[in-house]
Amino acid sequence: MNRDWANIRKDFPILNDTSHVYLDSAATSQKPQSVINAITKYYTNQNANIHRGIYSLSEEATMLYIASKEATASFINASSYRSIIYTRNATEGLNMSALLLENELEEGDEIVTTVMEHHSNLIPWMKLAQRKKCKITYVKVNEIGEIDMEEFKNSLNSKTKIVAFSHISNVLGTINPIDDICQIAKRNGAYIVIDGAQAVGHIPVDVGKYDCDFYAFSSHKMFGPTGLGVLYIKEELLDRFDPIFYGGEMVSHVALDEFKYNELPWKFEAGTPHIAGGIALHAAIIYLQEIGIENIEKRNLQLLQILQTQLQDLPYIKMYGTSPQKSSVVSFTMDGVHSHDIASLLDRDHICIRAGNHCAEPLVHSLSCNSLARVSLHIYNNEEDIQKLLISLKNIYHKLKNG
Amino acid sequence: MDDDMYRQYILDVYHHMQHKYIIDNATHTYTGFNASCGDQVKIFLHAEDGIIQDISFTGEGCLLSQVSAEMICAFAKGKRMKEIEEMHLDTLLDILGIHPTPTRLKCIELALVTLKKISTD
Ligand SMILES: Cc1ncc(COP(=O)(O)O)c(C=O)c1O
Repeated sequence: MNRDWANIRKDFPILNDTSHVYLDSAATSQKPQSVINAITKYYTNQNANIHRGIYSLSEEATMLYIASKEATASFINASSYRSIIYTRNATEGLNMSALLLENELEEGDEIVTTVMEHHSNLIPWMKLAQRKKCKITYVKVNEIGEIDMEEFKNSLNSKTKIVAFSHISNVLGTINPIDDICQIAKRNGAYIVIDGAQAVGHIPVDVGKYDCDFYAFSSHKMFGPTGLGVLYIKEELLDRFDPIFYGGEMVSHVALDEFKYNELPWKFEAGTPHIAGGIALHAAIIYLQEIGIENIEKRNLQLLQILQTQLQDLPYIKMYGTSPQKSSVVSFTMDGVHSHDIASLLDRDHICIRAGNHCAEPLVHSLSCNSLARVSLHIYNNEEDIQKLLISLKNIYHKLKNG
Repeated sequence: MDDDMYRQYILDVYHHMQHKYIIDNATHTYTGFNASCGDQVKIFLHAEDGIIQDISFTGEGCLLSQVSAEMICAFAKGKRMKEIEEMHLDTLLDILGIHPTPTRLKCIELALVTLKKISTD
């Protein structure tokens, strides 16, 4: 790699044009210029609807959209772009997974998930379980924020039809042992649904190796645009399942008394998709690949270690999620100071962090907290950002602690 | 009005709460809860003939939610219940003397909403 990290930071215009110290990449990442350019270029020079035009402008847009799918497939090692469905976001992908699996469930069947899930990977299963009168088992998290694997094994039985879990926790940062979980779930004959929202663009992802059935993620957390998500589904399932949405583009033949589904993956993408988003996601993937996902993983680990070491020195800070298998997300509390006050006061120093329950209320409560402050780092952050954070945190503590 | 939600006066109130305890002759109590952030305020109130004779609170949450509860208790003591029922958020903001950001407004509102629930019960 011939670029250094200081130069990579310069690829993100918002970090140069404002004085913000952006430490909330787990909520959404910032965008490199190449992604912003791809959107502008599409609407300026390439805009046309896809699949339908006979003219070359439409054909070009169609090719760009398909190229995006191919890039996404190869980025997560899916065998073909026929498995890649574009959605609005990870949440939509997880909801679609639950809807597609509805007919596979019978009353009394079981779904296994974990306490650490984001609401997006929780509520769709709670709703599905209600509709189909199924039971959900929640695997607990140990003191350092890892899934209890013994409990996971014990929670599976012959009635378990679905195992749904996050690749990386958005609160604890824990990178779950995905290979082991998938192997165990497969041996039990369950469908595997993975919430990869925090993983893609951070660590190598290989759906082929996991042999999972569903893998959902969001473009906006991996340097791509908002409004676009990806749902990988194993091809053999896509052939078997009926789509959820019906309309244009998802059919190849329509008469008044019959219709025929289009080929994959278009069968699952009714209506005009987010074409600009797909093309911009491709630009994001190219950007990630140019830097190299292993380099990104290493960089983030370095930043994480600097942050953790610094926070450890502050006796009034308690960190949650200290697994050695961890992404660059650090959640913490400060003695006597509420996380919303921390976030508001940091904001005055132009430091952006998240505070609250992080759309993972059951997890936050299981840690005996109401609210956590969360710092999440990405490759464009640097030691200076961390130093600024630390100085502000110390000031906040001294300002707000009693007396 | 001050843009600084954490100016010295607010911090002083926070560090020297006068009404954060439980009164034992409460005629009314009510707990308010902000589900999205976990802030909690429980108000204890002793009323006679529609007049608030004594009032206190307990709670847990961000500084703004607790300071707001403290200052609303100080304000409400001796007032008619009816007056509190009609109290507007702007009045509370005037008492506090701050301009919160939109997301923090609900922290300040919690004590007022809780107190109004009591007085309309
Ligand atoms: C672990 C996890 N799952 C799912 C989501 C939902 O992503 P989106 O809001 O883009 O649908 C998020 C985003 O916050 C997340 O962190």
